[in-house]
Amino acid sequence: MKKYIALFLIFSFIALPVVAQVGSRQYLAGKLDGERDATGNQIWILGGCLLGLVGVILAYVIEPEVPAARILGKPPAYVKGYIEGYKSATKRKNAMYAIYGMIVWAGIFVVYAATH
Amino acid sequence: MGRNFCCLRRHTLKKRIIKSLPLLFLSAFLASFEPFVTLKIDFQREVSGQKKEIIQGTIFYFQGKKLIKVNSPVHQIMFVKENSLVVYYPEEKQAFIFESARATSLPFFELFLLPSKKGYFLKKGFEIKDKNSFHILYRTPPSINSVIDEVEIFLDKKGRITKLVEKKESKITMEARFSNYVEFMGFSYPLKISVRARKTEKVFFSNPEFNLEIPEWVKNFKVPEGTKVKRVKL
Repeated sequence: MKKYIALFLIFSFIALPVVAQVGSRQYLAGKLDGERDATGNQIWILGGCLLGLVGVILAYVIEPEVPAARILGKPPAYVKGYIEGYKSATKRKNAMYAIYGMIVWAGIFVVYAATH
Repeated sequence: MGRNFCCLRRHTLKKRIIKSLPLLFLSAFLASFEPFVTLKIDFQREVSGQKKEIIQGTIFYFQGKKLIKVNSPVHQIMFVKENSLVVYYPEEKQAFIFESARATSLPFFELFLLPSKKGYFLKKGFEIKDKNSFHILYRTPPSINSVIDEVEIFLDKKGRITKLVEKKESKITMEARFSNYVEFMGFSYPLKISVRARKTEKVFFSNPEFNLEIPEWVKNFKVPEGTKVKRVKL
């Protein structure tokens, strides 16, 4: 009996880190793919231009849609990583676009103020 | 023997069509005039990148809902219903539920359904810029102008879509080629679709079954109790 328990413990010590490693590798692959696929939406330039700082905040708050086809046939750890990577990178890119919009608006305002 | 078998097949087909007629008329009103009520089709999707991915499974399409049962490389069930997407892993007893404001789409399957959606582009607000028997050029509506500004469709002698090209500032952003058609109620469905966008993918469809009974477990699919569910709001 002791022999079996010892064997089980040895196997667990070897197998568990391997399983965990596979899971974290899949999570990381998903996260990287999600970040790579995130393109952001240039419409946020208009958002930043019209709403200023509110536009930038909204770009960070509004949740982007994750492309369903990219998670087809992928393991759960990958999907988890993909969602996180895609959402955070898309929000970051959208916020950048909104900041560009805000800068454009500020530029127009400065030119207008200087000429009038 | 051969003749009897042929007659039997014709008779069964006739019976099947007659049986599905009331449902067919109902579906015409419900599912934007699609020529079928239900569809079951096997697929193999090959995505090339650093490592070629091959995904195999079966798609069940009924009443505008889609259930995709992936058999390889993992066991996964994707259920698309209105604005929600359920991704369930039976082996891991884990699920993701996505809730979105917009309808969830699976581009490779939408491309398969495209031939049955007559006037699809015009209904979506696209404008015809140029048209002849083998080619239609559409200008996209303002809502998607930032992503694509033109869509070109190429047709063959039978009026079947052979190629669809999406462009942004005259640069091709996506090109899809269609071949190996199967006919159903006067519509041609492509069994092979090759898509070239940021990644290249090929989708091979096989064993299409139109208007057959969909299994109960598919129609009434629900995430089983005791499943670890992660909800994702979009």
